[in-house]
Amino acid sequence: MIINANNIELTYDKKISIIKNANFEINRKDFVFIGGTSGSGKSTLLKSLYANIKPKNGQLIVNGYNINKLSTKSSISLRKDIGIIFQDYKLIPEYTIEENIMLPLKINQYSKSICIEQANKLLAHVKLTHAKGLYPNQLSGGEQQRVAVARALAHNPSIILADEPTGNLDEFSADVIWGLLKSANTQLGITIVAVTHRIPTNFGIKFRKLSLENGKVYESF
Amino acid sequence: MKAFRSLLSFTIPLIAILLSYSIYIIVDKVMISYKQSINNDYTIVVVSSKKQTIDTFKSINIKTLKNLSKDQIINNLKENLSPKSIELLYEQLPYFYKVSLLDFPSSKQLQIIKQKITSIDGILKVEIFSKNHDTIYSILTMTQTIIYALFIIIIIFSVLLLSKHIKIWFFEHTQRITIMRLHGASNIYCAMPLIKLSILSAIVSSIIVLLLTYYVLNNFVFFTPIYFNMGFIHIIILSFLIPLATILLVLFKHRFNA
Repeated sequence: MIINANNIELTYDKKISIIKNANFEINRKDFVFIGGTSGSGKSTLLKSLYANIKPKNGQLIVNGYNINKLSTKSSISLRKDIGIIFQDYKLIPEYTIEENIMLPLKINQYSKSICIEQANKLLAHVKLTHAKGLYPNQLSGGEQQRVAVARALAHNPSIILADEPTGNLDEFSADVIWGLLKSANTQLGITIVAVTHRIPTNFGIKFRKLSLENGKVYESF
Repeated sequence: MKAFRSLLSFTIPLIAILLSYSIYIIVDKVMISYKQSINNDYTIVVVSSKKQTIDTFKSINIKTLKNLSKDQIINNLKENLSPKSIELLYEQLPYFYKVSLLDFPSSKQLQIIKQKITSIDGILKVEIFSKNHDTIYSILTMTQTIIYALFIIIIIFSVLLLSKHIKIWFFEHTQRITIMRLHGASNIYCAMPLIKLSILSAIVSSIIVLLLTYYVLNNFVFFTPIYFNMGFIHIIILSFLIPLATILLVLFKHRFNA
């Protein structure tokens, strides 16, 4: 088990309770969609998984780290083993595409040659070799999200957390992104937790779906 | 151009600090040197009924004790006196000594020295020329105090300016820092470009200030630059220490919680 939530309560602004008494488990190599209506707390739940917010009550364990008691140093270690994808890509505008992909590798103190080699491999994987020296604002939304996926895969993390990864994309680009995430899950065995309000049809691989409703987490099939 | 502007915004306050420190050190050294030269000319005159030796002045930091010959005084009176009176005068006239000190004393120290000399057996009168001494001493002290106060004021304003620039840098790079933090970067890692910039500005500003100081020492100050060696080392240490400490302080106050 890579994620274990036991009666967790998540709050907004430390006051307003969004999720109450939530219990769920996510196993290694799972592909999990987190669904729910707008404002149901999907993104808040995802934020708690990378220790951006801590549960007010209950216990949340992610990759062996107890989020409730996480120190700054431990949260750094936790995030070093997580890949994150956002709806708005969150690429560094002043870095080239290659530098953006190399970011987690540099943070993890890999040598320059490994960083370059891995970046080139991932650029080929997401079919953006030609964009290596370009800057994010020179790419389309779909291409920027492919860069974000490549960056999330760069350091071979245990989990990839994706917050509405296809929210800003057209259907074709969205299919490409889901394809990349599926291959990361099936070929590399990376656990994927994706928040989305639009689960793709004919997904092609086995997945689980957690739904948020009235502050509770339900497993739906 | 932006990088050059950032470098300047770091280097200018740093140069101001280092230059004021350099001026402070130069003035301090000049004062010490000046005190020594004044001290060489400054003497206390002691009148004693007994013959004195340097050993009786052990408790005071004296450099020399010079006996002033009675001959010169008696020679001036010789014409009007009989040989017997001159002989008597030789016997009755007290001993005169010129005392020079190792260090230039403060007004308070001078009064203590006077008291100590007066308490020595046989001492009749001690002349310390206090009015002249006090004027020189207060001018020296005042100059040193003014330079010291200016140095402190410049340091405070420059450090404030530097910390403002650092805060602006963090504000300008908030987006990048947030993304880095989300990927597990530490605050120090996020601030690395700023740390590199501060090291570069430390090198640039210390070179400028060291060259200026060397020029001033060679052309306008009467002591050799070798005498300033420790000052050069202090300038180099300060140039690195001040910006790095300010960055760490701002980082500590401005934790990123992405």
